[in-house]
Amino acid sequence: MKKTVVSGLLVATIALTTLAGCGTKTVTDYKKIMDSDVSGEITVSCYDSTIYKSYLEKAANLFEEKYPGTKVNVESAGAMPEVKTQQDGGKTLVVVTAGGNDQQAKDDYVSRVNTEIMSGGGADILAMDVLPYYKYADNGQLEDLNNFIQNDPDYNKADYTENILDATAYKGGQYIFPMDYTFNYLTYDSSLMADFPAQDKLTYQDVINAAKDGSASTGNKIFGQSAYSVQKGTSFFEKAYSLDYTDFVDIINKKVDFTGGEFAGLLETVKSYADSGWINPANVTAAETSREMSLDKFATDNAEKYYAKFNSSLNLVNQFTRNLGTKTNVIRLAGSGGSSENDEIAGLVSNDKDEVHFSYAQSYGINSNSKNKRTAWEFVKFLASDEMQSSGLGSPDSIPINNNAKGKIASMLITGEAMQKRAAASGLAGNGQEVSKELTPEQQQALGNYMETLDKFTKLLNKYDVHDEKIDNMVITEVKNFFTGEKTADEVAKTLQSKVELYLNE
Amino acid sequence: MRKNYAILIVLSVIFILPLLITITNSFMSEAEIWLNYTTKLSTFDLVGGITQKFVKFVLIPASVTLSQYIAVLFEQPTFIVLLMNSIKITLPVVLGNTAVSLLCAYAFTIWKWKHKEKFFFVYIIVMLMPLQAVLVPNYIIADWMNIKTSYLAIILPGIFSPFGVFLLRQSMKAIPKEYFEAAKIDGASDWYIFLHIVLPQMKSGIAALSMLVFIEYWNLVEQVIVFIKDYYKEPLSVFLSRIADGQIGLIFAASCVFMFLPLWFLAMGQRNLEKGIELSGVK
Amino acid sequence: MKKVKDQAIWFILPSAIGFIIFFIFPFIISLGYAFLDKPVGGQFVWFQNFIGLFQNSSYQKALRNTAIFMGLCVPLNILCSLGISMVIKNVKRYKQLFTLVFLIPLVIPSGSMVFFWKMMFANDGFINGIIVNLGGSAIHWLETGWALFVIVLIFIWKNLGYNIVLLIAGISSIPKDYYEAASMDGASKWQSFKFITLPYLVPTFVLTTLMSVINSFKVFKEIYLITGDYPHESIYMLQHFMNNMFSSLNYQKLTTATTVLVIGITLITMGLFKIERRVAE
Repeated sequence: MKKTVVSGLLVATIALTTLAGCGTKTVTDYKKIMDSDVSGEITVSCYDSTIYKSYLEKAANLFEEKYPGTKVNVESAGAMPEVKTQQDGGKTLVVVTAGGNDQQAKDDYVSRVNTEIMSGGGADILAMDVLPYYKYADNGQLEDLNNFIQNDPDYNKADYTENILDATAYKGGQYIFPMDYTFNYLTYDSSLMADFPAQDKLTYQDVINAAKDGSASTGNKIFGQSAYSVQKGTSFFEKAYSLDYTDFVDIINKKVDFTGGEFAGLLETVKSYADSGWINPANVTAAETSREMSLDKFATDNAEKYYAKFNSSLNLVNQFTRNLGTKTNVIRLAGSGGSSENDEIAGLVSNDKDEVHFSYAQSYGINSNSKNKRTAWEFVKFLASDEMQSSGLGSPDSIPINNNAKGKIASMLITGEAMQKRAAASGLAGNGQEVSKELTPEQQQALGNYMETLDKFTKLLNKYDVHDEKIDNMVITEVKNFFTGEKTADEVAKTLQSKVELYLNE
Repeated sequence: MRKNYAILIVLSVIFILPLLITITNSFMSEAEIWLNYTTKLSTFDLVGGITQKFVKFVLIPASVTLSQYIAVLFEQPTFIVLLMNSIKITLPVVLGNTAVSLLCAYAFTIWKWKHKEKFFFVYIIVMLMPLQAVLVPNYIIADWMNIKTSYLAIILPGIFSPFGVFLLRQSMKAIPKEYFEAAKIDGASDWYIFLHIVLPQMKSGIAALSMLVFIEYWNLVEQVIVFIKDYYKEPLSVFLSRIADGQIGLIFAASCVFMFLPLWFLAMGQRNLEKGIELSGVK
Repeated sequence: MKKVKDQAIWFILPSAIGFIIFFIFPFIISLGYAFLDKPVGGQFVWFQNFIGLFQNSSYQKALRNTAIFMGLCVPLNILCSLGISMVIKNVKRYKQLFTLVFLIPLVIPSGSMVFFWKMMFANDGFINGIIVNLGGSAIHWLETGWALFVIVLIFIWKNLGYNIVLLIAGISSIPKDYYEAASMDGASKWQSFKFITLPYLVPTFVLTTLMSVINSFKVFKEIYLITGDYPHESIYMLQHFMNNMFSSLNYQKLTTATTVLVIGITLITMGLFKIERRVAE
């Protein structure tokens, strides 16, 4: 008799879902969407990492001015900032720091966005910062932006860095629109290796071949890390691993290969580098040694010389302006990067498949559930426009996707205007000095050289791997056990194989 | 006999240890907590030849300080706000759920419909549904009722949760049928019987239910993060779940403040709780 | 008679309306998703999700592990709580205090609880500290086969009190006359336990079993926080599977898994009630 209740429920269920299933399958007419007006309300959702949210809010204001009748809401989440008051010389300072466990807050954010999306709602535009975008794309929850691009007469392909956009396509669809990009390049110390054969693309082996004899006699390490290098993966292992990432983890085809020998080989190679004194032990894996910081240590670390160093693209402009005597780019990050006076550009690192990797800081996707896709697309385009991208308010560390903005941003970096703007944006008063916006002839020259190199390197970037934060975390955690000597390379490979396989097969 | 006490005391110590550590450590200074719970090696350790460090549970603080409590209660003005938020969510659920469940359990007791047991079985089965599965439908319904960003989205499902009906009906079964019949013969209405015969008998069941619901909603995390977007409206439980990893210097005092109300609630109703579940266990 | 029924309807109405809106609807909606191919704008696919689910290797692993975990935990929990309840029943003083002690794990906020167990079983945790100091070598509790042992321990620690209270209630409701009569007949303590206590506790066993199963799904929240989304494969449970399905927006697979689960628990519940009825007869 209870069965009748249960089966009654089942029948009701089936009836309901059949009803719901009917009529939902309609082909979206993008031409029609693009013909409609830009108006109405949209919402952008992002995970709050301070600068980012205020940037979006500014963009929203400018957008509303440009298109009257629109309203852009910016939604953000994050751990509650910790507000502490401190007494400092009679003044009460209010210090706001990111509070609590960031990972927990991130998971909470993803979980909320997922609920909204699965319920058929959610923000119109999703900032793809902590959200695993490939899962959204796989489930059909993100719009293929090519549909908008093809039907938008105002969209000019030449305005954007095409190879970057192309490389971020996933399974043939453009689900995200990156707003910027960063890449790593290697520099070499010309005081240690005057005749290093700089080239556009090189491999670690090229550097080792050129430097190993010298390293053996001077005792200096071969690979170091510039203090400017802020890209993900600070250790040498992580860099080497992400270079051949798709050999180990192929998210698109759900294939995992840790036990094939290559991964264990990689671990052993990195270890042998450390044993030969070519890399810092701290460079093997960052979390393994303590990061006790003292001024003395800072100074000695800064004086350290390396044959080659990893640099982030945000440091590239310094390469050309450091002789001009102007303070240009970023505030030096806490950390030590060794002496950089004699660093010259060595080239981009590529793997044996001629792939050169890059990453991005900001990118956006449009929610398929959005009711106002026209305005959403216009806003995404607005974020990528010359106007916003050259405003100097955006991601401070990366290169704009908009080709027209690159030169403007670079000249702002060279004059120091960018520094001031950023200080103003984060609420700090500038030093009061009015910077000249005009470039001196030397600066003009530096700008020209920088743009030429940037252009050359940008054209070589061709690989953006779909990463999954969970998998990366599993790898980093497990690999620690190898470098601390608790597990052999094969054991690590085996554990990872079973964990990642489980994850991808779910 | 003595053996029995020995067994109980040993087990009690194991069970009470986490509570004891939380309470005593809440009087430690942040520095002492770091010393006990972080295992990262410092340069001093390396110089001293220490290559491996382990977590230490220390029961007695080296020096008693209230600094954690000051930091939690006064330096973060939001803490009190969050505590109030917790109360704002928990209290309506406890009161509402108890009232609604009492009425419903009573109805199941006096109802003469022949399919009522089947209907009751539905209550039990629905209670078994894991949270992840109903989160999305709950969101859809909250959206439909236009309450998706308010506490109501959490409170309303809490009030109508079937667990209370289940628990109270079981304990109502222990009330002898003769009571009802005698009252009926005297011409009492169902309302009268409910108010004057059933309610006084149900004190223990009510205590049991309100305590279990209180604990559950006091510790609520998942529903909150989906519905509440403004972090000044979050309850303490969410804050605590995020603080757990990052600020170990604060977690003990925060936990103590957090635990104070439910512990008090539990101690208050413990005698009744046992009785309540005793009744619901007897069918 | 007619009047009585009407009045009962009034009493049940507030609960029934809320229950239908906030529980029956979600229940039906979530069951409905199990027959769609994607959560938004999906097509009706009959039992395709169920077939896919049972072919999924991760699900099979989760199902097997959950079965092992439940098979281990539920009886162990009942045995332990029965033992302790008998001991508490036999002590004269501080009965309530001891019962309260076993209820404490219910109030400890999950944040502190997770912190405590993490510190206990981390690679550089308290227990490994003791082992190393005694000259042994550290055990990776959460990354080896030991993980199952750890989560069984946490489960029992958290749920023992619940069962103890239910069992003490059950034991004290057995009429004392039975024991007296038995001891007059010369029955040993063991015999009266076997022939009086155990049979009379069957309804309570049914209750504790059902509550243990439900509670085992609640305690997963903490286990999840202690061991992470992708723990050692021996403790990869249905709850992990479902949580991860949720975070990868695979709602139809999640609801398919819960539908199977609900059917399973329904069958267990029906079976338990049947056993209870048979014993009662």
